[in-house]
Amino acid sequence: MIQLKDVTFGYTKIAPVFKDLNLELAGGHIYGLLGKNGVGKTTLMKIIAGLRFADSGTTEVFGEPSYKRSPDMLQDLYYLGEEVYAPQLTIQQYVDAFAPFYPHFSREQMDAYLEQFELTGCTQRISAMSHGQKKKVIISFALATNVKVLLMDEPTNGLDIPSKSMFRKVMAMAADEERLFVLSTHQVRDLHSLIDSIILLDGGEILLAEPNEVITDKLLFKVVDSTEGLQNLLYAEDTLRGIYTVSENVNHEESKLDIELLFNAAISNKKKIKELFSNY
Amino acid sequence: MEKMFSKDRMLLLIRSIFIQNRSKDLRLALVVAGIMAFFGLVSPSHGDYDFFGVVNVCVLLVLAGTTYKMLAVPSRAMDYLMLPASTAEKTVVTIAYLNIYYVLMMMVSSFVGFYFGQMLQNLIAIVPFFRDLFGSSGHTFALSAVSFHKLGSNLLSLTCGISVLLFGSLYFRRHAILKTLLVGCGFCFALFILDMIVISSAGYAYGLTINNVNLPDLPEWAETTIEIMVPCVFTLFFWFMTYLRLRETEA
Repeated sequence: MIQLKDVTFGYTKIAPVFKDLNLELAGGHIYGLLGKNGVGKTTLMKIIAGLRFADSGTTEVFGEPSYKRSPDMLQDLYYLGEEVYAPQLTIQQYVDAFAPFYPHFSREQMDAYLEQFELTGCTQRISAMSHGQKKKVIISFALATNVKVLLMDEPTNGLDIPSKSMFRKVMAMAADEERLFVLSTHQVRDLHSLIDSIILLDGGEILLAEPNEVITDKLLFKVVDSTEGLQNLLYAEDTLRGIYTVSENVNHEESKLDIELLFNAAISNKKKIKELFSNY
Repeated sequence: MEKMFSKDRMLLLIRSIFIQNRSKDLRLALVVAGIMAFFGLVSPSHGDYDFFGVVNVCVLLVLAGTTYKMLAVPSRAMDYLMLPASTAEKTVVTIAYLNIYYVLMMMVSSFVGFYFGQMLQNLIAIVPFFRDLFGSSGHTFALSAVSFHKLGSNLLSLTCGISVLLFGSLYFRRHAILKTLLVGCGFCFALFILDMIVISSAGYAYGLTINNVNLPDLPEWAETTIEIMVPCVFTLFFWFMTYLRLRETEA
């Protein structure tokens, strides 16, 4: 569905954000886009959405260059930014104004998501709502459009603790085998249970972009009392509950993916991680 | 072509803009009608009416100069650019909205306001105090007295002005009207200087302005054609530039 080939982009000529970036994303996945602050997560999503134009290389969505922002592409792609635009309209008016642009929009689904977010029957103007409420309305709308590609930049920012759990529930309701979700986040714990594939971005390149099962097939996440004798150790973190480790999964043991540990392991062992996941 | 222009999508765009702006537009129409009612009340009637008076022109130019103001706010810019319609459709609908919807809205609201003011003037002129204060012509203006030739010519100039400010509002994200006017003045000044250079290099004495130079008289049809063609060419140029600029806008 999404294909980036040799994409180079920079806000200035001197320091490009990405250089010769390659990435391929398929439908039926919820990708977590992870990276440090300022690494270019938002920029990457904007390039995919056609809101930023790469200096070189190609970005295609549904086989079309995204920079063209063709109506066919736009009616099957929704970009939800970190800051949402809340017009001076009620939810009903908002739906009346924008929903007809999306051929697969479902009012029933929108109502179901709003109900999950406890916003049913809200007649207030969206602009007068709290930041969290505004975000919940726009998230509900974005999901109800039933677009094939949904890009969400820090979707849980501004949501309170119960709303984050509601968000996970709503996302699980909306996911299916065709749709592709990309969620960029700093707060991996918010979305840990939701994400089934990970894209790790650092230093202008993609360190890995793999489904969770591929990651756990190649890396072993373990809590141990001592790291002595542990083979192929990539990362260790001493905590009160023991030492959390990431090592090469030489014997193909089963373990549960810890995104935070993976992130730290990847950042501290870029070369090794790239070798292990050498598709990119 | 189907991808660039779809009647259905354009109608959806018009509907969407209308839903988003209808209460703001209604307030604007009422304010303009109120101002024009006041003018109608205090000014003597001559039996005609200028549809493109100062109030209407200023409001329309300000509307044009603030059309793409929302692109300065990233979240609004993204929302607009990601709306499923082609850049050509968005440009055409914006142009139509400014040049048809808003022009008609201003013409109607100002006419109704002015007419109401004049009626009121005639009504209260029965009382001597008010007659002394506002005066009374004793008659209201009639639509039949409106010069449609003048109306057409004014409309053409206005459309041209709107197209320049529309492009300005897209090119300059902040203080677009001021910056567009400054650039316009600069351009006119440059043309003036160029005129002077051409005149002086053609052998005329220094100190002459273009007004002192006896240029050959053009036939009337040629003058009329130029009067129509120049604003038309300018308008089309700025519409096309607006489309190109919008196409390369990032957020």
